[in-house]
Amino acid sequence: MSRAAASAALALLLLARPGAAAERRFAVVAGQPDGGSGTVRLRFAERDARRIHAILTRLGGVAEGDARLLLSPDAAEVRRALGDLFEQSRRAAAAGDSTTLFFYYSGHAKDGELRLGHSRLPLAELRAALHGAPADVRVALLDSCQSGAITRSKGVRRAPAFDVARDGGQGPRGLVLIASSAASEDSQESDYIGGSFFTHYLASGLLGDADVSGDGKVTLAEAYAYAYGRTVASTADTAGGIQHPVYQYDLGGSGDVVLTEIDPAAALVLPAPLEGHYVVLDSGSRAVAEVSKGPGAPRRLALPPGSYTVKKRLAAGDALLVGDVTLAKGAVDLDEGRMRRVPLSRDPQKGFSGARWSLLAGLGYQGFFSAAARDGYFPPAALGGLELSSRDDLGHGLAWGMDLSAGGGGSFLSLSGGVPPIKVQFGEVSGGASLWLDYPAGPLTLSAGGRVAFIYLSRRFPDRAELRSQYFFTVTPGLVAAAAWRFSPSLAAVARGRVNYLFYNVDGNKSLGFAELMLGVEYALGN
Amino acid sequence: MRWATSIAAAALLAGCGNYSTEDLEFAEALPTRETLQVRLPGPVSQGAAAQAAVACGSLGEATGWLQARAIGVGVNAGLDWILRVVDYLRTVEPTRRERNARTWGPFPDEKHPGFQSRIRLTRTFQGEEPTYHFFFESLPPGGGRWRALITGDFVGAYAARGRGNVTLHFTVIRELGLNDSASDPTADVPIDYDRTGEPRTVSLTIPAGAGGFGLIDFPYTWSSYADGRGQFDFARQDAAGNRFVWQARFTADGAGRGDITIYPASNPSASYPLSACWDAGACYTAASDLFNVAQLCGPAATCVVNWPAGCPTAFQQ
Repeated sequence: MSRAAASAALALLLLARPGAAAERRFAVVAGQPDGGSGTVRLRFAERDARRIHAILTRLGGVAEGDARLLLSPDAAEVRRALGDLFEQSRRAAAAGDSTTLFFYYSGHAKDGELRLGHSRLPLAELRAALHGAPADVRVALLDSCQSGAITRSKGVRRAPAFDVARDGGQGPRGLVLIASSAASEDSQESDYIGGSFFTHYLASGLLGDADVSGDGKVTLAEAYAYAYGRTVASTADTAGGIQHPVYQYDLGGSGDVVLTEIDPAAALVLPAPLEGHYVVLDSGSRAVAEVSKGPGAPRRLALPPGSYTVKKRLAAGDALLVGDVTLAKGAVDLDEGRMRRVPLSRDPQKGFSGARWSLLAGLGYQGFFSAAARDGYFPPAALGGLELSSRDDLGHGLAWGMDLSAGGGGSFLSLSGGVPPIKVQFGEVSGGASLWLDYPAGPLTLSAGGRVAFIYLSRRFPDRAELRSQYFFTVTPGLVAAAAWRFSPSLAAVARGRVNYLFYNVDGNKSLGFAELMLGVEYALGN
Repeated sequence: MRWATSIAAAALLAGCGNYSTEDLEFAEALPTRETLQVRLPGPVSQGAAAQAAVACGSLGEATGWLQARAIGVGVNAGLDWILRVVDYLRTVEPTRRERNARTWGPFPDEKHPGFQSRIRLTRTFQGEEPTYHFFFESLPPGGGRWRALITGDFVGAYAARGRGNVTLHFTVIRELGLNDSASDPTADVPIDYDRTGEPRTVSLTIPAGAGGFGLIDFPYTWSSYADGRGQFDFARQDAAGNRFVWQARFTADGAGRGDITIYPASNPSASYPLSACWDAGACYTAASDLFNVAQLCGPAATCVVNWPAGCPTAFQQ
């Protein structure tokens, strides 16, 4: 069934209202970036969890006290949180309340297990626990590789939407399992959007963009259909391959589950005439929602109060409209007339997490490749330097930096013909601009790129006052490679090598290469 | 503006500066003051000489030796022409660098308006040993050809241990009117130095009749040894026209022996030998003047005093 057809069908449904009288909702939301040995640390798992937790508690009818946000938990913590909320749900049910339990997880999964650091939580155990959980409706949302394995038992479907029963009588009862990828697929994160694809689109949908019916309520079916379509579309051209969310839907009773309600009086409103693809960034330049809107009906995004940047890619493809919006209480219409047009080259892509600035300080060694050059011209030198760099400013994984270093050394210059060695004090100042690509692999980031530097070399002869000091300056192109080991959120140990080429021509063309090796510490600014 | 930016960019890429090891090689081949200048031990002031005279014994003060210092000053004045030039070369980077040549200038000659000067230093090799060829040249107003005022050949990579020669072309200097004073020599003055072994020598030859630097014509030669001993061959002439040709040998502290030949003005074909020794205070300590021409012993037919026992041990032979 197409998404449009599903949406049309869903528009006919009677919907259960979240937060209605005598309904309690509970949520366990977990994000674990560490999958133990053999896995790469995820960058956005904890952020995914925070986003979903915030949406459920703000818009999804889950009271703060009924939600558990677990960041980097192990399996035991997850079991404890589930057990705790099972107990609370049981009491609520005993008091006559209808109950809904959400379980969300962003992290690694493999071989039929959620990998929570060095601990494991079998999917079969999780499925069984949710199946028997004392809540009328249990919804599990798993954003992890091969998480579709949880739906293997029966009735798993890889489809853009699911049908919802329209029986009369009581509201929905049962279990819904939704996984971000099929049992054989990887779930992918994206630096562009600052999160995993599935959670990003799920969150966008929950904030209002999935409300195809326009009734101000985002149902489970709407959210799934929205997240499915956007995830498949966005991963169609990724190296990881297309990612297909899957579901197992086993709801009795009638109607769909309303996940969030959009308060029309407190939202960012995209008025009816607007159309296009919009990205909403928070004050930290992190994507919080995406909207693909056609003309004809307004679209509301239930964002919390704060300052946001809205970007719209123009049809010409070479520019963006960028505008700032401040939300307090009440609805705010997006006014495209007040958005500024900027070249696309200056846009940090959709969902871009913002330029990341860092300062590197280090000490190193410099040596020229030619022994004759070392003896007669450029002795080995010790260098100290600083580099200010910006990552993801020019593009994904692309970084640039400006560096300044100074140093020197001492040696004896040997001339031919029995001339006594001349004591030399060698000095150097250089400043350069580098452009490189980062290849992150967990806490280790490898980098490679190019650099152009201005270099000023000088030497003087302290024991020979009659010999005048000498200097030379030129531009040196070169290559740079580095390995950085991030040992804290703000600090990384860096080993960096440069190979440069010096255009030297005073004594004829003696141009030659030289290398620099440096060890340093990099401090991430603003993190 | 675009062309200026392009030139600046090209200059940066090509590199700028004076960072040259070969410049140092050229500099090391140039003789220095240390290499060439004559340095004589002994009293350095008239006051010291006067005190020495008061304390001297019956033979009196070694006036001829004391006058050797003035002769050395004259020799150094002749050498100063080349030394001023090489000192200049060490402070100014070359205008042009070639594989085996450096050129400074042309520059306007500030002392002689209309003239231009340039200095060239070229290098040739005989096997591994380089020889540097020096040319200090002047271009008269109105053009013409460059004229060499000073030329030289410096053999060896390190002048402090090399040998060479310099010629001051006073004939050209006077022809172009570039001489500092009328007392400058009237003929070319060759200077030779050799520091390849012991003794290290510097010689400056004033050709017959050339004059200049307060010197009479003579091949002035200064030799020095590592232990401070030295020898200075020089000549002087007194007011009466008597010519004294000296071979002065001296120790590090200034004591010495002079073997002198006197050519009386009254009889140029005659000559009289005499020898004398002096101590570090420039007092004669021994004399051997068979004809008592120096009259160190007063009015006597002969004057042999304390000879050779009164001489420094090294010079008793």
